[in-house]
Amino acid sequence: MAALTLRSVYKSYQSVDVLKNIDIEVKSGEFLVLLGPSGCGKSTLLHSLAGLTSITSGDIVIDGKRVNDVPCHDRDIAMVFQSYALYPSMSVRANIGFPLEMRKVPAAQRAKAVDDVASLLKITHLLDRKPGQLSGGQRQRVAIGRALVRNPRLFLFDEPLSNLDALLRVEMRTELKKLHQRIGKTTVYVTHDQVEAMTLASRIAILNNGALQQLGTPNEVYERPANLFVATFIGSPSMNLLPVVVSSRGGELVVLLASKSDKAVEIRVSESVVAGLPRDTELTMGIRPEWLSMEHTFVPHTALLDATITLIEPTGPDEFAVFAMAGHEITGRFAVGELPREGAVRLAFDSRKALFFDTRSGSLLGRHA
Amino acid sequence: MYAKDDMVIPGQDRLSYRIGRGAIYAGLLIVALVYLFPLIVVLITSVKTMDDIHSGSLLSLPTHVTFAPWIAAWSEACVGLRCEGIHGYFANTFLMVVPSVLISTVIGAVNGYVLTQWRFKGADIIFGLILFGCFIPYQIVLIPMAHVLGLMNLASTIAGLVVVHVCFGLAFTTMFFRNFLISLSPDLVNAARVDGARFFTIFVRVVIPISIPCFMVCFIWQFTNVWNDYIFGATFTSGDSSPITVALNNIVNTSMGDNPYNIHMATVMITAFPTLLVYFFAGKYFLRGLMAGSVK
Repeated sequence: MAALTLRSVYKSYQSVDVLKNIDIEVKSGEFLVLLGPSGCGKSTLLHSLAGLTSITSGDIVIDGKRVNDVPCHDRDIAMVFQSYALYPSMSVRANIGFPLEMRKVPAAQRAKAVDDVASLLKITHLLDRKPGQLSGGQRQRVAIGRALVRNPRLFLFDEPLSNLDALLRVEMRTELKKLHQRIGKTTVYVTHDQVEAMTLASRIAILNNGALQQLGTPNEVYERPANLFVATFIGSPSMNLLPVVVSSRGGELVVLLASKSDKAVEIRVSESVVAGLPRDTELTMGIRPEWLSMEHTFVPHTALLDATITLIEPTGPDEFAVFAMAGHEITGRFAVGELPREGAVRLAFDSRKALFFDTRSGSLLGRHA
Repeated sequence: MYAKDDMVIPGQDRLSYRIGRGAIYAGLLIVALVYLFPLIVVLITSVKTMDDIHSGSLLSLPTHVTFAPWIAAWSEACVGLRCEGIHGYFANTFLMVVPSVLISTVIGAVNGYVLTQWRFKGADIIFGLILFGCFIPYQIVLIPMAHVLGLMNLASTIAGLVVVHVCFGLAFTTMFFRNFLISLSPDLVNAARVDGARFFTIFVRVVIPISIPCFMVCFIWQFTNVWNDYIFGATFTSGDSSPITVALNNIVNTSMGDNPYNIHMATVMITAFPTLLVYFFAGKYFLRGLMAGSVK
């Protein structure tokens, strides 16, 4: 059963549409991540779910009940804020107990619930401190504790990890995932960090300019991005995008790479890869940096590219290399030692993986679509 | 030793540095003396006998310290035709100050909370209008206010003065709280809403505890303003219901031959004492509260 349904949700401020026709269905126990650049409307969407702002039109349905007009305090949801938003004047114990107190849970029961949550999050020793005496990570735990304590219908997280330093962020990310696996509560999580989204989500909803771009599992959005925005937003380094035209030459279909200097460069790919694509129109071919490798013994469907190394960035486990190719710049991800230090190289990639987008509309075409 | 070294500024032992420092302290000392001079005169005169006052100069120390003028001021001095001292007027002022301060501060706090955390259409315009109240000169409203108090049957009463002071103080307390709470993260109130708290619960449980510095600012500001007010007291009350500032003026103006300067000075000290006390004990909170809004 759907724990949360958004049906053509619109939200406008005066004449500006910040959310446009959002349709999302979240299954019970799912971990949905709302991902997008800042200003894409993801936080507004989360606030609408929480009842902190109203929507202009559409329906928000939680557990089968339309909650558009239900005020925030009656929605039975819990939320973790980016700034943690702990009540500075209250002890950790009072902070965690506050939502229960507001729901008039008897003191004894409340104390037990607080203790349970505290031991789950390993913050029992902090219970009598004030938020001001805690570190960022500890505050984060308290904020999560305050959300967990009353067993709400829905968990909302608003960029909860972005105020933590890098190391702690990774640690808390893992803990959040464990926590979700353990309690299995429906969760909606907002972030602009694609790694967070990929690692945590059961499904990702990618937003841009207030519109839903794609809704899918982390694998789906990575392997089959619905459009150019998703293709470039997900993945680091970003996907290589090359302007190409599919054309017929001597009865054979070839991919022609528009060249800035010379005439078009021909990239040989398998017939099946380009079979369904429109001919002689401007397309964008997407190749993920890690799909590139040095030319190796022939494997079916391998396409070749001649390029010159411009720059190599070692990252430790991998090297990111920037190549110049027919006036375009492409990035590849290689194992350490795989690449020569400079000069011309011949790169290979599995043409079956290549993605083709309509340059004008940006949407994915061909066999992956 | 390390810590001590840390305190040393490079070049601190140079002669030019020492001369500069000396000049600064000398300047500060002179300014402080100029400011304190009236207070010193008042204090010294208030413990002199009349003979001392007649024989010595303004600054000469008393030959014989006496607290009789203070006692006289409190319970014997003549205000107009009644010679019962100023204790009754002191009480009047106290009865006026406490409700005025409390009511205007609490309403100001609610105003600030609503104007910043429950924003509604036109909130800024309303705040602008309230702010306008800070700039209205007292004299302008005297006659209309007298009329209104008359209609409310509060003319010449302490309660009437409380109403006047609450109205005038509101502009300031609202401004203080609005400017203090505007820096409060909306997340805090949002978190409380999600947690199930409502308007006044959030106000009492979340907003008030973190607004203590602002409350201190309002208490001190309102206390000194209301306590020191003369014009409203003189205009809207008469006789027994006057606040102490009006009584002080009446004492000084009640001339019966030889002017008892020592009693006058003692009355001045008694009148000024509560505000001095407030600044002495709560001054640091005042500064801290004012800073809390601006810095950060």
